[in-house]
Amino acid sequence: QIFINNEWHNSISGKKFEVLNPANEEKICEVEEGDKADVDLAVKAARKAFELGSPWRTMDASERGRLLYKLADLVERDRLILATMEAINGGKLFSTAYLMDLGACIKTLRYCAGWADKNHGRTVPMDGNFFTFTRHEPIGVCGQIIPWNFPLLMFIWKIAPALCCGNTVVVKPAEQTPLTALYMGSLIKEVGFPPGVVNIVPGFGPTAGAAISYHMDVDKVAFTGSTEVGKLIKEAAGKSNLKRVTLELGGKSPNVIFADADLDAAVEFAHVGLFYHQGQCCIAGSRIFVEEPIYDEFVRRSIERAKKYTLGNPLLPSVQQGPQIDKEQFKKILELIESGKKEGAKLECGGGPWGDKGYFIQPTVFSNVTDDMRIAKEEIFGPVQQIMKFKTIDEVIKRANNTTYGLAAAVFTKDLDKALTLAAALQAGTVWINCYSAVSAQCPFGGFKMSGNGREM
Amino acid sequence: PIPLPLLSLQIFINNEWHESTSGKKFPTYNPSTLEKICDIEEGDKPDVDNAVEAAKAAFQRGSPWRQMDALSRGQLLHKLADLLERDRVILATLETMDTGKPFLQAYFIDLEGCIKTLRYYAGWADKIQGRTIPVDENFVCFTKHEPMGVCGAITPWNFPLLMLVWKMAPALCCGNTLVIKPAEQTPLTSLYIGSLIKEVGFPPGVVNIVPGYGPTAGAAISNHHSIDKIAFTGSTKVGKLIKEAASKSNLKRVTLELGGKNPCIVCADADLDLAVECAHQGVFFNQGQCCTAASRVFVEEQIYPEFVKRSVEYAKKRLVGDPFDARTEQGPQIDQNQFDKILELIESGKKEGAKLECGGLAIEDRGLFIKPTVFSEVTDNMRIAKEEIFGPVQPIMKFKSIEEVIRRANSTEYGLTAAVFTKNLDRALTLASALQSGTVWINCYNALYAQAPFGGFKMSGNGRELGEYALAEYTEVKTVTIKLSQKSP
Repeated sequence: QIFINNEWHNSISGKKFEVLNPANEEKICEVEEGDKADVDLAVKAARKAFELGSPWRTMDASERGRLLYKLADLVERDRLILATMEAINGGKLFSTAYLMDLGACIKTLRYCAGWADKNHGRTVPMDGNFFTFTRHEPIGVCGQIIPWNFPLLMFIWKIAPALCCGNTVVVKPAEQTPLTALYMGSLIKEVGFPPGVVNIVPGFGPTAGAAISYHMDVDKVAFTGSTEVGKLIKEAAGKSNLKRVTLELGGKSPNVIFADADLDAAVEFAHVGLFYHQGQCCIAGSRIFVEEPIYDEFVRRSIERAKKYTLGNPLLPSVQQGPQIDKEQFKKILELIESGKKEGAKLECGGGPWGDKGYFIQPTVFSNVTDDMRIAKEEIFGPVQQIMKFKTIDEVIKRANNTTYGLAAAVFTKDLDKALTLAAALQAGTVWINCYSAVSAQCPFGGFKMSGNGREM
Repeated sequence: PIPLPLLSLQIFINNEWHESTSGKKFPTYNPSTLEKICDIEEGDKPDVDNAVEAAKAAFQRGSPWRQMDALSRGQLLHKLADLLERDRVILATLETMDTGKPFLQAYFIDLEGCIKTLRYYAGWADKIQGRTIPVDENFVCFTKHEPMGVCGAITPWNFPLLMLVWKMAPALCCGNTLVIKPAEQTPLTSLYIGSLIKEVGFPPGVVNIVPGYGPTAGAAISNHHSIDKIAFTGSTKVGKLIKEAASKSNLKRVTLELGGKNPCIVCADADLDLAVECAHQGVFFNQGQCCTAASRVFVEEQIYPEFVKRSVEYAKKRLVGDPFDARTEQGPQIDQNQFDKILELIESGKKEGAKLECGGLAIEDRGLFIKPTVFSEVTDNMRIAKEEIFGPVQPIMKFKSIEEVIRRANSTEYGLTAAVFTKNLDRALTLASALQSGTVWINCYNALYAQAPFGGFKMSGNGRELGEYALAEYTEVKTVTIKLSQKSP
């Protein structure tokens, strides 16, 4: 149901929507469908919880931190339940959900818990007879719109810093994957957050999501999702009440492999960097630039690596790849694969769907990709790896930066000078050297250019 | 005696309990009953040497402690806080037996401060950030805030466990290892925490505890060539010796929390009840044995007689007795030495012409209890106005103007805390700026929290404890500068 003021509610419209298991396309359950009227109620509750003198506003900062820490303890207690739910609803490998997603959720909550009473302002030596100091105050009611690729983790990435700083939130989880967010509602109540501090309204983007972005009483909106929708949200924020906006959007992240790299490590990181969670990562390393001398060997090893896959039910330990999230994504990825074939890239393996039930796509590798092909320019968000060739540093810097995206990048080399030069030259919010997808609660994360606005963590 | 499996009366090195190298032991007494509680292994230089060896080994590159994720270090501190919470009654009881402080204060104030401080620093562990710096020319430049190494900590007898946690928490949070010498009068709670450190799972050698005396074990720490930093809370006299020893040996970094002769300024427009109560608690709390004691109360002329009258009423009502009695507000002084010194200063007050309003002598023939004492008509040249008394004695002076009281308040080599009672915004902020004190309290007293830094100006100390500022005292800054072939954007 809809979670407002620590209570569960039916939708005002009476409507519900289906939640599916992408591994077999079957319905898991139905969830109350929130729309503008429900968002309005949630915002009212969040506003009240944020009033001067409210329990949340008068709570010691260290106590806010305590609540976040206890929430981490409860997530740890219910780790198995949450991981299973996430695997079934998100098509995510259970082992990944349990070890990676849930591990990161717990650490992120604990990290932000520690900051709660350390948010310092400054005293400032102003000219004249004045005493001046800054306060770092909570913004107010924050709308948070969560994606379907890391539903619980992205939920935590939003609520943890928001609550740590004393805000109240109205969260709209992705319509494909609302279950773990709703479970968190119960834990939030159990921990003892005051009513109205966290509110959860499941529903669709154009209805509930738009209601949040346009709301005149929401002070900030944070969104993780596609660049296309991110633009709509920032536009809505401008049109309504100039609410603050942070966005984590798409990427077409370059992965630059030099001839002096540790080849085994580079192949492995490039592989996982693309294929992790069926390619459904904003940071997917989907343009791999390999220095000419080692190109053929790199492609050969990458194909070998991509072939050894077992697809199937993500709950089974023997399975290494699950389904894509839904039919829409499934069709889009297959369409881009076709474009790759048509535009002349060399299909090395995979290239089509798998199985007769569920949204499964074979791990696919394209070589001899050129920068003008659609698969080199558009975000695929699927298990499709593009490998291109380069000759010189200046060339690869230019080509890597030649995109409206700028979320992440990676460099594989043993040479100190190359590593640091590229780290400075690449227009990306995170640059990984000799690794990929190294994300941790302590490090800021976010995009240059159209990959986003602002930083999380 | 109730057997406490977690209380070992020995030397704690490498998560194990040892007898002293010399075979000697020393007694610890209950200042309330004057009875011996037990004997403790007495550490001296060889034991300190062993402890330092262990701390050094635990700090080696590649050791479990050095390799541990910062977040995990924080987790260990959180768990230690949980264990203190679990054993809160035991620890408060030990603290009361060993120090004579009222049990309810040990439970609600000392232990509360310990638990919150541990949790505060647990949160900092993975947030100790260096900077990247845009230097001239073709370089990549960044700083790392690295742990200093082996830190010596010498703790006092007035808040034994709390003062230990004030050092332990930031030291461990930043990744250092420790050699601790608790005050010889009050070693029990520090030794108990050794067992908790082991139970939580800190690697062996990260925390080591060597009970013993100042001139022996303490001096061994201050003079040690393999200790990188020393933190001391105690008298200014001993603080000077420690800084001297640090210089003579290996220039170890030094932080000191020393004495105070803290001014408490009450303006005519103050909320008088509030001011009287705060000034009273400010000087009498913990039997007057606080570095923050409000031991020079300056009252604006117009309200002076009324202030004195009400303060005397408060002092006369103060219940002195058995620290385990829930009604007791004041227990005994810590030992004969302090007791004698306080009575001597009281006599000097009488001799030098201050007006004794109440108290002024010991309570019984036997025991270390002193009556809450108030002196009025005190002038700045009297000994009780200049020397730190560290006992239940409140000297109250008169002032006419703000400029005068600022000058008089600052006329001291000390500079730990100060307090101001006024409703006037301008006066409050002016005094806050003018007073040469590490902490200035406005309309409150002893408001101490883990988030806010604490430390002294002038001879009240060097450096700060608590808050983010303590991290600077437990880290060493390393600048790394890497040459690039061409200039980076």
